[in-house]
Amino acid sequence: MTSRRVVVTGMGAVTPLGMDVESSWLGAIAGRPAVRKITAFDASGFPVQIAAEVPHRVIEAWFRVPELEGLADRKIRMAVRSAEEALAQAGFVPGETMPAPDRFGVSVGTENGRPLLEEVAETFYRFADHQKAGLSTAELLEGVDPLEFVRTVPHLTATLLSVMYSAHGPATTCSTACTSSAQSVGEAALEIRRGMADVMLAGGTDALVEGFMVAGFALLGALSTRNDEPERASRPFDRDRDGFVLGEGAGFLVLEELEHARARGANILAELVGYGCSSNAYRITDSPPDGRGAYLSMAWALRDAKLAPEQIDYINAHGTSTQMNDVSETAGIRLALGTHADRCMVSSTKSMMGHLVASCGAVESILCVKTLQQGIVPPTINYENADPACDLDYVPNVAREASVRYAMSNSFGFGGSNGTLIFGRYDGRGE
Amino acid sequence: MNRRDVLITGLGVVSAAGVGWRACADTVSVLPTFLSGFDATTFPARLAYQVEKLRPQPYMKRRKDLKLMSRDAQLALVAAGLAAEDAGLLPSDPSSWPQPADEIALYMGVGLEPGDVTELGPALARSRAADGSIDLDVLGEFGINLIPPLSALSTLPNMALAHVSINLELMGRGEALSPWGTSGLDAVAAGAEMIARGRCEMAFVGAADSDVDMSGVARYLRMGLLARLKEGDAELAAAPDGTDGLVLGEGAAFFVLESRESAEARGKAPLARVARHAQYAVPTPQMSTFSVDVIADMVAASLVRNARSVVVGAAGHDRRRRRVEAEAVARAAARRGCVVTPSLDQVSSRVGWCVAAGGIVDLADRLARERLAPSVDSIVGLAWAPTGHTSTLTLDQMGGGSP
Repeated sequence: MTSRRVVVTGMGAVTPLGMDVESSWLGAIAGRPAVRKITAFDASGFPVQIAAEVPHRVIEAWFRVPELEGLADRKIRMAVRSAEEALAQAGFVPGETMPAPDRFGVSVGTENGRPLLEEVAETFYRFADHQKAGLSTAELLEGVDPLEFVRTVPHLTATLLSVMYSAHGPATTCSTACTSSAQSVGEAALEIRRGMADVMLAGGTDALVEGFMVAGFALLGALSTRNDEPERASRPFDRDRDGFVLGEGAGFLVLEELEHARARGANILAELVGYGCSSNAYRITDSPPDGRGAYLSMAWALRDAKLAPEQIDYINAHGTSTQMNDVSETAGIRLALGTHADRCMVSSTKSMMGHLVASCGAVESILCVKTLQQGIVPPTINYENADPACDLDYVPNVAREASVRYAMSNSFGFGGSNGTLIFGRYDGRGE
Repeated sequence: MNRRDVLITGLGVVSAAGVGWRACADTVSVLPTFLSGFDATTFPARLAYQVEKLRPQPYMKRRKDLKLMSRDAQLALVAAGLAAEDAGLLPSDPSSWPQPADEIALYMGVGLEPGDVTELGPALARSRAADGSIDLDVLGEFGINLIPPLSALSTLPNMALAHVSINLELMGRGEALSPWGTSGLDAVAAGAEMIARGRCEMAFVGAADSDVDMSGVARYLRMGLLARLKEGDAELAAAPDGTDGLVLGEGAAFFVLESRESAEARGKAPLARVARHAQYAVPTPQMSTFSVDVIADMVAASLVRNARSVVVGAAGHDRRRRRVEAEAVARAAARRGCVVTPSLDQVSSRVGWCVAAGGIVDLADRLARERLAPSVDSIVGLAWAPTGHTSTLTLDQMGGGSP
């Protein structure tokens, strides 16, 4: 059996840097920071008051399916927007030219839908008032909109995308925190390779810039508190980094079996050549200093791609800007690439767009594909002082022109879930 | 490239029927009990299938971590630990296992982790403004310190996976899949695929879910999915024609999957072979459709021709879904021209609807009973999500496993 090759034929993104792939890419290579004071809620009393947001007023305007409107929260709206862009670039037009439904699937990396902290508080206060009044929980429940519960289902995004684009093939959701969409893209590629689908809409979405998650991650000490200089807050691999900056956004890729894409004359943007994932088996909140889990993820991806470490020209690092992650990832890269680690370009685009959590793997994969196409490596901004424990070429502060044949995207999540994708320039050859 | 045979060499299952495959197999029937985790006295649905005597401590590296573990994580760890033991792997000493930790995969189906809103209670109470809304300034200044530090993490669905990987030292490929009702069967398929393609020799695959708390019961009640059983209605759950909805359960099941080469090299007899997996979607976000045609197609594609087969249904107590599944299985058998008509076993009517873990808990329960009293050559597990996604998983080459 010949292994089916997987190529990228469409991409879409909504990020704090822009409302589509092109503007996000231009922002990334310009080294433009998107971190600002939080506008989604009044965070002025919070220990963390900064984030990389997608303008909420803009998000609310997206979604054109009236009968499903009640189900669409912010992350679903961003997912639909970026999926539309990806499908359009791939030449798929809903209602006109779409993949055969049975051979078309959806794979999404995302977390639970969450009510906003204000909504949780309202329910809590209503509940407390009811109890004081001697009313039962069941009576309170009768007043709750069932859609509030449906919106919490992680698989809802995949379901809605399947409905909107008539995708009846594999439908899955990966929920591995910050690794979710790297794994959803990897799983989608596996579905195509194993012959379960010819086309997969794969990516992720997340919108965690709300009171509870900001408070929760702040309590863990994971977020930067550089409230007075938000644009300098996300500084991966810099000695003075003090935590990550929450971001939000969505990214989707149209993955397609190579011969299917060639047969319909699709414009092939890149090839997805390798996928690996692993678990740290270390601690819930911490990354292992030796980078063992990260190494395994990269090693599996290299093995899957049948590539030698020396063939990797660029790594879009997970690079969160926390003390632990950046040291662990650096150690992992050294283990995976050996001496080539000193020659490989490594950058973290989270320095500009913050940490998009469940969607970061997909969005950063898209930036890898753009890097392959354009020959420009996005920088790590705010890199001012070297950390002896982080000693790679992080493409500091300014984008770099370079011919990149293979680019790797790393994602590492809370709980120790890791994922690595490798993209290559399409060589123009069929099977 | 030749696909390799993937065998089940270890089984761990935890449900209201018991803890461990033998306890589940020995249990003839189970009745739902009054919801114990909260005051359900005024809820329209007050009965569920709940797990008693759950003890994850024997499988934990640090017992103090118990307070970090959700109910889902505890169920998962016990099921995974039991599966390891059943496969002849000592959970307390993974270094003695035949495969290095780096190369043992972990694929897990996970459910919703909404977190415990009551944990936020003190912070919210402290931050209530005079107009009855939340005062975010007060929350930021004072209330935030009343929030448990790990509360944000507890809402991430992959935490159960993390606890299993940490305690069993599993560092190979690892994914948490959350396609809701089909999560468990899809996780088995994902792990099996890695072994079939030669990417690893051994994988832990399974799922865990517990929604028998207030928010879970409320969620599924408001979605219109639950039977409204009250105290004294337990016997109704055993009625042959079912009830007017599902009855919630909680549980977990794990399989140890292994390549045939690996199992034979260590002399481990298999319980079954993972033969095939199918997945189809007729997405229905309104949670309404349950299609006879789709299920018939799926089951037809999953049946092993002319084998004595049992289809493990997903309808549970719900009489409307039971009728759909019965018709679908009959149609599938006719379409495949089966000499032996497959039977239909609604396992979840004895252990409850375990949501994300439903398909695999049901399949594991049946596999456990087959182990004690073999009756079929093949088992087809069926799982569905209320969003319209359906999965099947076929086991064949049934055996009893090692003594």
